[in-house]
Amino acid sequence: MSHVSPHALESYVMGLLDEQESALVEAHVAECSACAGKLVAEAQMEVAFSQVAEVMVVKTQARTRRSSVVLGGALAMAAALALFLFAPAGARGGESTQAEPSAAFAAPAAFDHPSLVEADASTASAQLDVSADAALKLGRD
Amino acid sequence: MASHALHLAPPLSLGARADLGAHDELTTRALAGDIAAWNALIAKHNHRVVVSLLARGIVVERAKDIAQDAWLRLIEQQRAGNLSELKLPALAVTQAIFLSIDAARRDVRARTLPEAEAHGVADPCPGADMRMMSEERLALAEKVLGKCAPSARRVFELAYGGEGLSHADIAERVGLSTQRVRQIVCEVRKLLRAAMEDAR
Repeated sequence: MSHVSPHALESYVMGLLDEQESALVEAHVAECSACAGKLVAEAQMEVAFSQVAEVMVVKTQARTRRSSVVLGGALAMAAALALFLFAPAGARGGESTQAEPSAAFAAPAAFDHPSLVEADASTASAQLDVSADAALKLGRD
Repeated sequence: MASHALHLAPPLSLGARADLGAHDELTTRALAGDIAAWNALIAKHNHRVVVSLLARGIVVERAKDIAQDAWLRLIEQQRAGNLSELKLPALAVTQAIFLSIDAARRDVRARTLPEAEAHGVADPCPGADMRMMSEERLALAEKVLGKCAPSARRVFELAYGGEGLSHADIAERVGLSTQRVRQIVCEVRKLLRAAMEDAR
C-alpha cells in the first residue's frame, strides 16, 4: 500500500474522515513507521493549535473586558458632561436654544478627549496585563 | 435536538443561545448520571482525546483504549458523586494523559502507584495538560493570527478553543456555511503550520 498523503493525515487528526477512511489510515500507520511518525507530528500540530487558541481566547476575553471598561468610563463621562451642559439650559427655561445642540454633541466630544480615555485605558490595561499574564503562566506550567 | 433549532431557522443570536443551551443541557444531564448524555459527549469529544494521546507518541489502538478508560473513569467518578463540574474536552484529555503516564510508569518501573494516584480523577486545570508549545512558537502563532481577519480568528478560536465545537456547531454560531468554516480553519492552519515549520 502506498503511504498516507499529508492531506489524509491532516484530515484524520481534524476528524474529517469517515469511519472507512479512518480505518485505512489507521491500518497503514500500524504497519508503516514513517507514516506513524508523520501522524504523531500532525497530532502534535493539532494539539499546538488548541493551545494557541486557548491563549487567544483568554486574551480576547481580557481585551473585551478592557474595552468595556474604557467604553463604560467614556460613556459615564459623556453622560456627566451632557448633564452638566443640559442642566443650566433647563434652569434658564426656554431662554437658550444653543445649549441643546451642545448637549447632543457631548458624547462624541467626551470620546475624543484624550486625557479622559487614556486615564481609563491605562488603569484597565494594567488590570488586563496582570490577569492575562497570570492565565498564561498557569497555562504553561 | 439541533434539528429543531435549524428547522425554526432562528436568527444568529438565538441560534447561538440554542447551541449553548444544548451544550449545557447535555453536561447537566451527564452530571446527573444520564448515560445517553454521556454517550453524546463521548461521541462529540472522544476524537480530541485520542489525538492528544497520539501527539504523545501513543499508537492508535492504544490511544483509543486509553481514551475509553478515561471516559469510564469519569463516569465512575460521577457515579461516586466526585464530579461537580464537567469541562469537556479538557477534563477527558487530562484524565487520558494522566492514565497514559500512569500506564507508562507502571510499564517502565513495574511498581504500584499509591492508591490515591491510581484511582483519583485528574486535575481539571488546563495546566495539567503538558504544554507542547514553547513561548517563542506561541508568540509566533499569535503574530500570525494577529494578521488574520477578526472573523477568521474567531472561527479558529471556536474550532480549537476549550469547547470542542464541531465545524457545524461553529457554522451555526457565526452564521456561515459548514464548508466555509472548514475552509477558514484550513486556511488559518496552513498559515500557522508554515510559520511554525519555518521556525524549526
